This record gives sequence, structure tokens and C-alpha cells, in this order.
Amino acid sequence: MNRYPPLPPEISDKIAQARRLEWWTLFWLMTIIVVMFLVMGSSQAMQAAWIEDTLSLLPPILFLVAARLERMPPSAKYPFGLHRIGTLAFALSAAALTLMGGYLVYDAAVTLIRQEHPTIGSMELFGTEVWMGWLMVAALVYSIVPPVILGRKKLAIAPDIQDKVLHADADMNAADWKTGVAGILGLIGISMGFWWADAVAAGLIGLDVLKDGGRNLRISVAELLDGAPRKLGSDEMQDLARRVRKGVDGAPMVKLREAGRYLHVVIGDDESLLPNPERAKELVGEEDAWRVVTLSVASGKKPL
Amino acid sequence: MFRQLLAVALLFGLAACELPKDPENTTQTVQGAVLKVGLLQDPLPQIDLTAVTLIADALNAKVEWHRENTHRMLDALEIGDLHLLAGGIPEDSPLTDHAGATNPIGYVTIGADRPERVLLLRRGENQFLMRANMALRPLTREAKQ
Repeated sequence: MNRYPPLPPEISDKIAQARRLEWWTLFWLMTIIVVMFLVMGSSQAMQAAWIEDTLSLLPPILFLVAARLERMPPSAKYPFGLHRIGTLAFALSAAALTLMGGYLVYDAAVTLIRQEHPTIGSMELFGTEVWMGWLMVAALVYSIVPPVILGRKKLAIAPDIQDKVLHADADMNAADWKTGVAGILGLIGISMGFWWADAVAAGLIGLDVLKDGGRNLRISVAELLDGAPRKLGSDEMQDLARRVRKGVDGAPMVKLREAGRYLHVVIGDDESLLPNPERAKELVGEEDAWRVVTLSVASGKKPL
Repeated sequence: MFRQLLAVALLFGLAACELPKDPENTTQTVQGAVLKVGLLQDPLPQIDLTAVTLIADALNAKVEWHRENTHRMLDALEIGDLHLLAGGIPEDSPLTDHAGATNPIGYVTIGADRPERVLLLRRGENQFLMRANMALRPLTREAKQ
């Protein structure tokens, strides 16, 4: 049953490379989550940063699952295969990014409205009293290095393999290091007696993350609704339909939709795809005939 | 931009001797003057008394004791009219939603539980908290053993 065209070797290589990158991302994120957990104490700002680091595990996991399952052969339960798992993974990643932005903004707003002065304690370390804020800064400095490097590498590969999950994950990495920097600035502000510094910095970054999340969600909705293929990381359409039309004689109607990184191309106008009501009744029975809206019949063995 | 931010962070770190500061200047207010302490237990248990005395000594301050309705004392702490609350406060007390807590000075026995014992101070007064923790070190060390 599995008759998907094979992937070109350079594309398989890049997908393999992306998978390795995502495994590394998971590894580094885990170490960051542990380090942050050790120093966060009861600091709300650090708790927010920690929750957000945990949330950023989601896109790499989704990528790895999707990359493993997307070329599964069709089955009785999934007769079209699992191509669209990339679509699903992208929708969930975009949602995670949006959720993270929303959470940051909400948390900052609550802190500012309630005028909560962040209390950060100290501990004895090698005989001197060390303010926990400095330890948190050190943890945050550590937490911004891996996402910067990994995010850049992902952005370099994503267009080649047309991977929106990888692209959204790079956005997530950008959000990670930006909130890290905001956290550092916030802690420095707190140390200078500006209790609002942390919330303001986190809130501004939160708005930025929310914007990225919203953009990804819009693209994702377009893909879920069988919209025309969009450019990676933007809501603009790709000029693929015109290219297909050029390659076919006459001026047929060409429709494209995306399933993850893959394209489904339909050539023929709506009229020719419209099922004959009588034929539909014959095929699926009287009761369900009204549910059939397109009917495509492969026109022989030879590809178009 | 990233590297510059790191450099700025490091510079501030180096100038950190006098940091963190108190947003509401509690340390400055208390130093060489009066440390106003609200009592949650009367008489105050010995360990809390020792803790308060250690902090007062470290800041060269005279202790002024206050005994009122708990809620009023918490309100007073929140606006800086009191500087400390003391008296068998466990670190998981609901009062800590409205106040900062010092490092542990011992333990409180509540039924079968034995949570760490702390003093409460105004939220966000991080210099004051650090000075208090420094003064309380002998008690914290003992508690951690």
C-alpha cells in the first residue's frame, strides 16, 4: 500500500540532522530545567521562567513524534497515511508558544496590579552570604546559551525540509533566550530596589512571544483548513499553484494543500470533481450520498 | 546585543557589594535606630527571642515589642510599621503569602508535623532579608544539622 515517492537523499539527511538537533534540544532543556529548579526557591519570576522552559519541551517532542510517524504506510484506519501529523504537531507547537506568551503577560500583569514586591532570600555559600538573585542570574545565563545556538541551527535547516514544527520550535528557542535575558535584567533591577523591573521585562518579552505564537497559530489554522500552502514562518502564500499550471497543458484548475511538509495537488475544476448524485448513491448508498462532496478517480496507470 | 547585555549584567554583579537594595529602605530605617517586632506568641519562645536579638544586634538597633491583633500586625508589616513578626511561625504558614520569610531558625512542632521555624518581614526588602539571614546564621546552621 505504501507508495509515497521516496525522499531525495539530501532531504532525508537534513531531516535526520533536524532530529539530532531536537534530541540535543531535549537534553539541554532538561539540564536547564534542573538547574533552574535548584535555584528558583519561592521566587515567582523564576517559577514563571521554569514553567516556560518546561513548556518548551513540547515542540521538540512533537517534532520527533511527527518525524517518526509521518511516513507510516496507509492502513485501514488511516487510509491516507499519517502525512498530516506534521500539521497536528505544528498546531500544538503554535498553541504552546501562544500559551507561553499569554502566561508571561498574565503573570507580569498580576504582579504589577497586586504590586507584589519579589522577595528573594540568601544562603550561606563557602562562608559568605550570597543573595539568591545572583545564583538565579547565573542559572539564567546558562539557560540562554543552548537555545541561541540550537535555534539558529534549526532556522538554517527548516526551509530546506519545509518544516513548520522545526520553525516554530526555533521561535520557541528565541522566546526562551529572550525571557532569560529579561529575567537577568529583571533581577538586576530588583537588586537595585526596583521591585517592578522583573515583571515589566517579562511582560514585554511575553508580548513579543504572544505575537510569534499568534502568527504561528494563524498559519496553522490555514493549514488545518486546507488553505493554500503558506511560506515558512509567514502568512503569505507560496506561488506553487502557478508553477503546477505551467507544467500542464491548457489552463486547468489547480488546487494545492499542505500536509506537514508534503503537498497534495489536485488538477481539475470543481465541476469535474463534483460527484454525479446518482453515482454517489450507487457508491456509498442512499443515506450517506449527500456527504460525498468530491470524487476523484485516478485516470489510469500513467501519471499526469 | 546579547554580549553587551551580558557585559552589563557582569558589571552590575561586580558592583554588587551594596546590592540588593530595599525598595522601601527598611535596613536604613532600622540601622542604629529601632527594630519594631510584632509578637505572635506571648511570652515569646526562647529561640525566637534569640533570633530577634541577633538581628537587632547586627543592626545596632533597640527592639520595640508590639502585641496586637494578628491581622493588624500583618497589615502593619505590609506597610512597614512593623519590621519583623516572630513567635513560632512555620515556613509553610499562610502568612507567608503576605510576607517574606527568613532562613530557618529552628523547627515548630505542630501535631505530627515539624516544619521549619522562621521570622517574617516585609515583602521585597531584600537587603534587610539578607542582613537578617546573615545574623541568623548560627541558628540556621544548627537547624540544618
